[in-house]
Amino acid sequence: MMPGLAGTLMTPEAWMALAPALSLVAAGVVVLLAGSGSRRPESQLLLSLLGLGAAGFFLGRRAGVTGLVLSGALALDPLGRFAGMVVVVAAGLSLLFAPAYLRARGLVRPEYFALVLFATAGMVLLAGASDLVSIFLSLEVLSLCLYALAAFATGRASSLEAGLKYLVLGAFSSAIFLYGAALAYGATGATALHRLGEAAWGALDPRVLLAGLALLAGGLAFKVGAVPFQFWLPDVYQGAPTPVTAFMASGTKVAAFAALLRLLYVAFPSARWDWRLAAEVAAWASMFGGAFLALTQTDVKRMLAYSSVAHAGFLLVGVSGGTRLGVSGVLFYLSVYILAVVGAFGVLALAGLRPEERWDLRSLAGLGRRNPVLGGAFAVFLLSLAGIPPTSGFMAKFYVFGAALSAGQTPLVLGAVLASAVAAFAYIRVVVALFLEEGEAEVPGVPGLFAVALGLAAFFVLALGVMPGGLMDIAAASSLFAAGGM
Amino acid sequence: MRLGLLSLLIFLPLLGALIVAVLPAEEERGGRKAKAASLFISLVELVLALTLWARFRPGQGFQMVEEARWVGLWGARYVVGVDGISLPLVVLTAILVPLGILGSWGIKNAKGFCLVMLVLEAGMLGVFLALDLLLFYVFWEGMLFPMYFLIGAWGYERRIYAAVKFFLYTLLGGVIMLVGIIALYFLHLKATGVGTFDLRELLSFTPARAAQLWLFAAFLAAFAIKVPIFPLHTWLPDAHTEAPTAGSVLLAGILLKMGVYGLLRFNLTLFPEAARTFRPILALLGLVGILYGGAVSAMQQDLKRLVAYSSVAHMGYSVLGVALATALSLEGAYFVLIAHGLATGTLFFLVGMLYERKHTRLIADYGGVAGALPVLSGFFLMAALASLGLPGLANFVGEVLVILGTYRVEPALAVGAAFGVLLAAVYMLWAYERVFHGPLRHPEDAGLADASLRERVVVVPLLILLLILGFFPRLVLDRAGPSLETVRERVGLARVEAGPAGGIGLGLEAGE
Repeated sequence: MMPGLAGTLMTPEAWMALAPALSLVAAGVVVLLAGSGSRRPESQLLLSLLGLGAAGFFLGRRAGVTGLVLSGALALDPLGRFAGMVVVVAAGLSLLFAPAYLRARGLVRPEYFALVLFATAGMVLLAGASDLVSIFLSLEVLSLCLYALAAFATGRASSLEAGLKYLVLGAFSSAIFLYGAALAYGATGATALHRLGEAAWGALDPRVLLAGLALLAGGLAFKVGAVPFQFWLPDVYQGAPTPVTAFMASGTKVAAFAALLRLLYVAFPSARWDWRLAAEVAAWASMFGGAFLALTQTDVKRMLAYSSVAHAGFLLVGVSGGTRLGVSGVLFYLSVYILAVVGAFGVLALAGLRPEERWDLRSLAGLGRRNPVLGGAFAVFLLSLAGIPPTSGFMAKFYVFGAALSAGQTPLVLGAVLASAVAAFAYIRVVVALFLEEGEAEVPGVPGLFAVALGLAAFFVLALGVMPGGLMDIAAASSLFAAGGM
Repeated sequence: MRLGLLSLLIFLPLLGALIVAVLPAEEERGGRKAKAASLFISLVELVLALTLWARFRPGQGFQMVEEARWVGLWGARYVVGVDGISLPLVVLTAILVPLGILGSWGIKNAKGFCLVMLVLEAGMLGVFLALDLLLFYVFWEGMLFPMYFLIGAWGYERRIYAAVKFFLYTLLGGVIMLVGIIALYFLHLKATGVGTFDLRELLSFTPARAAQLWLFAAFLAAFAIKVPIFPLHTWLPDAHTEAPTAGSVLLAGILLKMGVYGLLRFNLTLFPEAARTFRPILALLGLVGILYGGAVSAMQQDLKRLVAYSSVAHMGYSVLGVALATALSLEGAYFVLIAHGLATGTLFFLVGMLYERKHTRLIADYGGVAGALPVLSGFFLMAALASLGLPGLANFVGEVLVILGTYRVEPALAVGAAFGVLLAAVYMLWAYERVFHGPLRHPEDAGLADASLRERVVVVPLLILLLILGFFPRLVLDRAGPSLETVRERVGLARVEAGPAGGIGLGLEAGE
């Protein structure tokens, strides 16, 4: 940025757009500086939660403001605000697992909290990024932090493997995204999404632009874990420390879907018929691929990883409708999905408090009998992921499937309900193990912070299933982009 | 927002479940507090249900409607109301739940059991009372997991297999219905500009014929599995046999009824043209169910499985009656629901009591136990006679009405259905004879204890009800009749006054 432009660029709105990310980065730096001497992860957690609270506060202040700032790099709009809020909640909930887990595994280092905060900053920026360059930069911010976090359990080979695998394949996907950005720029001479949308009609060669679109969407599909870009996901989810998995599985999905929505709806509204078809195909493949592969797993952490692929498919059902109802459905789905997924991985993180970390079905057998409250909470998360009422997972599926039906995608919706029945079987197997099998499950003591996070998540999973009206209204009002496209 | 008796009926059991959840487990004392609390709540429910019965005015459509905001964005509202079709089923539910709890007094992990029973009660009542399709669906699917749990946690040896099979079957049917519900919503939205799941508003809207056929099929997927209609019945023998006694009672007594209730409430009224098209096929499947269920029952070695398969046969009458949708056949089909709930519920209680004594369900392991168990044997005989349709007991009325109604439309079907009554006599009496009469096959059985006071308290009310309804079927039919008549009018078939109309081929459409 040229010095002379700083005055005009940094308008109050620009600060408003940057404030959430800045407060997260600031909190991260403070954690690093203040925490380096301290061995108490609780104080680092407190600082991190303050940073997240500040970010939430600044996001909240953005109500009603719409527009583009920083030459169109960032959008101030309801969609970015909503997705940012959801990311902050996901980060906050999953951080509550960290202190006890890190201590039990001998990993207490302030870098953990700082990296989560930096990654959250990247996600919040990504949710509002409205230029191919700013999208790429925020993607890299969050990805680099997550590579390091995945490998955070440096003493464990599987964690290192997860980090390395994520790094190599993540770099590959970044390259794909960049190549797509180059093609899109080459075809239109623009990188800002709204300019791409305007320039698309006069593109030199529409085929180049479409190839660019495919590569850009592919790069984001990698982050959300949609087929055929899901290969990294099971290994990374399984190998990463479980609180990190909880954070990755929730936050990344929200931010990347927000970016995908913005890319498709703002930059490529004219190519709607092309990307709708592609999104439908990816939805079919992700739903059924994820559901069937989840069925074959005996490791629960890995099963949840594959089911996360299936959920990417269900979300793509909402994306592929190409309607505003679909966008708001995706937002609602994401906001209840993170609760269940953070909760489910949180229960698995309890296994990390014991000397030997195990997540196979046998190690969970009988857990619900011995600790009905913990088992009940886990069952609530699993049923929500399966989409069984009265959990909020049902309302989420109802919303996106309804949006797709309104867009006339009846075969896709029939496929989606069949896939969710298949996926339900995978979740039910875990519930069977929890409650109906006699087993060797050691009943873990549940530390206070775990109890808070799991209790909050379970409460809202149920409450939003019974009374979803309020959040649905908010999601519907948030399905607006700053610049055109709708 | 108006909330009252109906909401109290639905939510009181949930409150009760919360109370039970915080009570101490008292495993060593058999969870006495939990059992007492849940029994008390379910008896209060019974009182509420009887109050509802007393306040109900026949022939006035949906009554005591309560409404509240719910999912505003989608126009779905919390709407509950009662009519002649739901009222008897609500009372039946309120009767069977306390008896189920009382009948399972010795169950292990009683606290969890009571909790699940109360949640189930709320779900079942919600299904019958919801007048908003999304609300209905939430109750419908919400009940799935507690039932699955009841089978899986307290059932017999193959309980997990049976529970998962039940869960997946019904889930699959349910999600297809969900697509139908949402599709209906959008058709209504497109036609009228109003998005609503309110049954009362949807009733004033008739989709085009092609759409009706698809929607009918989507709803049928859920209900046909639940009833179950042959050939979708294969989950039933496993679930009913492996479930604990209370689970079998509620499955046979209430859950199967939801399938027929759904057909009456939604399929016939919302998609009348499609109902006429599906008429022959459904009627035939009903008849196949009667004959197949009867024949397979006769071959069972396992007494509980025999009773389970007999449900397939009995529900066949209901399906046949609903499919033909004449005044007589609808009343008969509906009466079969209530009668079967009482009779088969009693039989499952009795089979459970026999099992508690000898820990086997195989008919061959019994023989001549009537000498040791005169009271139980008498109970069983009466329930078996009710089940096989002896005049003077409730089932007779329902089956005869269905057969008469069928005869006026299509005599050939009526002959087949009447043959089913014969089959029922064969398998029921034969089973009774092999279990209770003949020489005492196992000498140690001479020392079996006869029905205890608690067991008599469970069974006697059901037998009395079977007798009362056998003589005074109007108790139910006066209330259900007007509502069934509106269903028949919507299907749009003329009232049949005369005798056999003869068949053209199957002649079902032209029969009247």
